[in-house]
Parts: sequence; structure tokens; C-alpha cells
Amino acid sequence: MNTKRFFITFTLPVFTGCMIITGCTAKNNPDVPETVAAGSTAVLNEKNTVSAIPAEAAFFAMDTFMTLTAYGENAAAVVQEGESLVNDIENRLSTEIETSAVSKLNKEKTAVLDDDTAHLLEQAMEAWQLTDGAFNISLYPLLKEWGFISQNYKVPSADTINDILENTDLSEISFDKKTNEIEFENKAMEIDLGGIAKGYTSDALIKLFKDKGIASGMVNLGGNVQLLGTKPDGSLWRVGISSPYENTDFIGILTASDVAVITSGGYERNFKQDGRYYHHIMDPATGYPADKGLISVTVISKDAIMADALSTALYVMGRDKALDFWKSHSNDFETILMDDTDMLYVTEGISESFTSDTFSTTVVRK
Amino acid sequence: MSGFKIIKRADIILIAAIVVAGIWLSAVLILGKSEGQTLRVTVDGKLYGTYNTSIDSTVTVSNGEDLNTFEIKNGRVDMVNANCPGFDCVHEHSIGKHGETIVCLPHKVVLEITGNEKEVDAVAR
Repeated sequence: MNTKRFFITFTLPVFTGCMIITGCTAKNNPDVPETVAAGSTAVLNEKNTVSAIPAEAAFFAMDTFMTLTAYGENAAAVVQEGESLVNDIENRLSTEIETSAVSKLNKEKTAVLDDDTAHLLEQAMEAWQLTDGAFNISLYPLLKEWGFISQNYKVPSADTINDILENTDLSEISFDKKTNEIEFENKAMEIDLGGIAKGYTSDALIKLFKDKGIASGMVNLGGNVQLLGTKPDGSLWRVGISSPYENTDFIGILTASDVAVITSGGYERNFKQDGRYYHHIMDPATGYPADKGLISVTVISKDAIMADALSTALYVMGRDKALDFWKSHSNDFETILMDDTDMLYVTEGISESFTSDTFSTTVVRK
Repeated sequence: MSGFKIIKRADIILIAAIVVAGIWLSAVLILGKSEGQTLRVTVDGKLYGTYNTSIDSTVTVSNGEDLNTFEIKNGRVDMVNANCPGFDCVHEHSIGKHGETIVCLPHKVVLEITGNEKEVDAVAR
């Protein structure tokens, strides 16, 4: 922490508190209650300032950089526990860890899953149905072929892409809710829960925070942000939505509490071949990077898993379809879309809490 | 009446304390403003260095064979070169505001702007 800020926020209130007491005593003021009142104010200030210093854990996991922030008693222990929770989830879900439940499933094509993983898989299947296939967890072989896993990028041949798309129909997964037994009927199928794993993890972290009595906190999983409560002083959190452009920092700033804010953009991970850019958000219908005129999609929802899945799905759908989708699910989430003319579309539920200094904004109403 | 002192010893102490506090506070505020933003660089969670973003410079962060070069120019920081496989960090746009980061995942290098003015608490990306 910046030393100077520490001095202002921490030392100054204590110091002024002391001065008030000194002042009263020096004047020999007989008004004892006032002295006590002044003294207790100073103590209160000191207390408030102490609780306003967050506990933070910053670490690398799930192929990204994460920071967990919590305020209040036991906050330091809670963020530490959060870090091990993240590692546990990664060990269970990562396709890059051979012993994970997901890796074993991909290899053996059948498994009996633990309750948590089974529930997450169910939610992934629901998201696939809800979004008419725009969110699809079986694109892992496709992403491998494009080199987005190994980072040896290449444009696959049309034949290769079409062959892989044959194995991306999630109705070919049989799943028994009672026994948690899952089986790929199509043996070429491989899944990756990466598209919702961060939302799932941030949800789990916020639940942990709540269970441990934390009322104010924030998790930032490589840009997937989820907020718990407000800031300790009662004000709303300020979340910048990253800009795709070099010369601007943010598309705009959202003030919020108790929601997940998740952004997807093709500008985040991409490569260039023969003068064309190819990004990592695949359109399950074509097998090529989604190209429906959106540059950035942010989804705001109390449900981080849904926000994670939808930020990808809406990007794949394109502006018109995405906004139609919002209109029929407007109780569940809000969204900020940026199209390729740099116009922002902001849904009405957050129109008052989102501001952009740089871009034109159209409010979308039901 | 001659024994009555309008200014007591304690009052002098009080006045002196207020003057000292005033000078100290002014110094903090003035210096704080002129210093601006700081770039904090960590490698695998360990502090590598802090850099004043108001001074233009080019710095190479080296950790064994891992190299990341960033440039500070006009108060903004940009990763300009790296020998990592993906170059994602080099492709990221430059940063200049409190709370913004550039991360090189393979090398576990984090560039983070810190400073007095905190515009946002987090950046969704």
C-alpha cells in the first residue's frame, strides 16, 4: 500500500482526535461530557479506518491473475481460504490437469461426478438450451485445433472444422441426475467448462465470504468481477469496463453492488494470419470466430455462472439477437454491448448506473 | 490581576501543534499531488519494483530467461516486448489509471497502476 495514503487515512484521524482532546484540556474546559464525546469520536474514527483496510489475496490460478478482497473481521483468513478453494475447483475442473474430473471424463467418455461438478454440468447444459446453442461446452477440440489452448495458433481447414462440429451436439450427452452418471454417446466428444468455470468459482467465493460473515468484498478473477455488498463506507463499487482500444481505458464505468460483472471481447486473445485477425470466441454454428458485429459484451447479473455463459453467448448472437434475448430474460440480467460502430447499447436496468465519457450510448428498453 | 496570564503554556503547545500539523498536512497534500501515479511491478507475487509514471522510461523485467519490456511514456505504461509464447501482454492496450493492470501469464508478471486517485475498484474484461 502507498505509504502516503496510509498516513492520510490512518494516522490523520487519530492525530486530529488527539488534538481535539488536547484542545479541550488546555482550555481547562469544565464541560467534561464534551471531552469524552470528542475522545470517543476519535476512537470511532480509528476503528472505522482500521476496518476500511481490506485483506487481499493476489495469485495466479486457472490460467489467469486473481485478486480476492474482503473487509471486516477475519477477512485475512477468509481470503486465504478463498485461494485454496480456487485451487480445489481448478483441480476438479481444469482440462489441463490430467487428474481432474473433467479430464478423466474426456478420456474415458463416462464418469460418476461429484455433486458440485454434476450440478455445474447441468447448468452448462441448461445454458446451451437457453441460448439456442450459442453457449456450448463441447468446443474444446475446436479450440485446440485453432491453437487457442497451446498458443500455436493456426487457421484449420474447412474440412477439419466441419468434422469437429459433428461432435458438438450436447444432446448426445446422457446424464442421470439421480446417480450423477454421465456418458458421451458420441465418443469423439470432449468438454471444457472453462466458459463458466470462473463464474462458478466467483459464485463459490462470494458464498464462502458470506458464510464467514464478510459483508463487503470483491473477487476479480482475471477480469471476471463479482461484488459482495457495498464498499465499507456504504458507497457503491466502481467497475471499469475495459476498452478494446489503445487510446481509451474504459468503455465506461458501472457503479454496482451484489452482482457479477463479466465482459467478453474478441480483442482479449487473438492472432493474425494472412492479414486477418482471429479471436478466441468461437461461433458453435460455424466453427470460426464469432463475427456478428459485436466488439465487447458485458453481462451484469446476481448469478455469476449465468453472467459468464451469457457474456459469451450474446457475443456469438450479435446485437439484435442479443437484445431480443435480453427482452425475454430482463429479470435475470442486464447488459452493455458495444457494436462495430462503437455504439454502446445499455439495458434500462443499469442505464442510470453506467456512464461513458467516450462513447455514445443507446438505452435499450423492453 | 497581574498574575493572570491570558496565554497559558498549554495554549502555546496547542498552537505549536496546530502549526506543525498544518505544515505536515500541506506537505503531504502538495507532494501527493505532484507525485501522481506509481507503477507497481510484481513477478510471481514478489515485488520487482515501483516506477514513477511521470518519468518516461523503458524497463526490462528479467527473471531467469523470462523477459518483459515495458515502456512508460506520457504517464502511460505499455508492454512493448516479451519472450513469452502468446504475446497477449504485448497486445493489451496501455494503462494509466489506478487499478488497471497488464498481466503476462506465462511469466507471472503483473504491472499495476497505483496512486492517490482511485477511479475504479476493479476492471471487468
